[in-house]
Amino acid sequence: MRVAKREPLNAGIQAETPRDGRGQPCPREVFVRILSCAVRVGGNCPWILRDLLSLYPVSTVGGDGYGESQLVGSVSIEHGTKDGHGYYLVREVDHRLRLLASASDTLAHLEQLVSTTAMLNLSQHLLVHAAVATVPTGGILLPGASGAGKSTLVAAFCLSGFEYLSDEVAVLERGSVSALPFLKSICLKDGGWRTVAASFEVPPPSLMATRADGEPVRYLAAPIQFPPDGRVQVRYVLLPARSKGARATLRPVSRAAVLAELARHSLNLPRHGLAGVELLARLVEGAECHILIYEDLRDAVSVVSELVGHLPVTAAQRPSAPPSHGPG
Amino acid sequence: MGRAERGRAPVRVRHLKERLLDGELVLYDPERQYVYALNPTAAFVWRACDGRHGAASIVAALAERYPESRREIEVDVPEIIERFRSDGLLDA
Repeated sequence: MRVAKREPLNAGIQAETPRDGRGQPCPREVFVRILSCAVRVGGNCPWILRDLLSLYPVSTVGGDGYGESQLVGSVSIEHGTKDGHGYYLVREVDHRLRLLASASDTLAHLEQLVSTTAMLNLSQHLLVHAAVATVPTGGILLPGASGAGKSTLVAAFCLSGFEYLSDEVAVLERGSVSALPFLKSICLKDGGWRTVAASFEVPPPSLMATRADGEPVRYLAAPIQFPPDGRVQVRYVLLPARSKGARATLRPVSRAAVLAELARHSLNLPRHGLAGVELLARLVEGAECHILIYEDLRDAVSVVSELVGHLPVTAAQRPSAPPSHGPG
Repeated sequence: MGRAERGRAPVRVRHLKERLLDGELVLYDPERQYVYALNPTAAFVWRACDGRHGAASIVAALAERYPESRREIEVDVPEIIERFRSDGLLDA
């Protein structure tokens, strides 16, 4: 049984952190913490570090250290100007250098860099390309490749009162056959954001950034109610299948087919081999498995709410989301 | 089984791990790191790929169980064997 604990976003920003004239914190160093991993990010651009803190809710500023987490990498950013143009030089974990032109690009790059570094250092767990939302009866695993709609769905679930556990990667613990929280803001591509905003009242403002592949993304601060080491038993596996004109329905699918699908979306199955397959088999044996066919997000939430016995909440019932910061 | 059919009889590779999940057969290929979920027909064909049964005798055995589906079986079994072969699940 997990213990629910509301952890405010930017919990790591302490009162003694230097602040600018608008009262905004000006950190020089932050520790992004994901499960047992901490990634240090330092530099002379507090606006970037501040935004990074807002993406990772259990991060801390430099002076507060990184608790019992293990420091798994260090990244530094240097902001400067040359020929009248600003630049951001990012020295990555492996000491590679990357030059970026805008705060927005730098933030998106850092988010991917930090998340990837954490994933590489969580290899003792089985990692699956999936989003996870939770309800009191258990976790809902939404596996799928990029573009399958899992982030959009998990955003819709979270805006309907479900809890959030992870966005792009499900961290599956072998011993307990449970999912662990990979806490960061939900990253939505522009199309996904528009789809969510058309159906739900999305809390403004949000961070916006452009990924290295040119994809503009927005970050949705998800309601965090889990301690960083909280674990959740997966009770539902839903394979998202967006279909134009389709009414939201749950189609039965065999556990064997779902196991094969989860294996296909695993990011590190070769490291775990047969033990990883056995973990997935035990997970699907303990879960209800369905294909979620949908077009309209609200319909999808409604159908899933009925499945899991969880009443979706309206915007008026939701606690207000904490503010996030734009590039300074 | 005649000599001609024995020559073509498919043989499943030995290194795959098998697991039953809700009565359905799951194969794990540790070399390719791939998991296959077999429906009941494919599972029957897989188990029959023992080097002693050719496609014709597998079709006959399945059709004996499901006589009303003989036509589908005659189409499906060779396709399943070919799929096993192309996925490297059968000995060359």
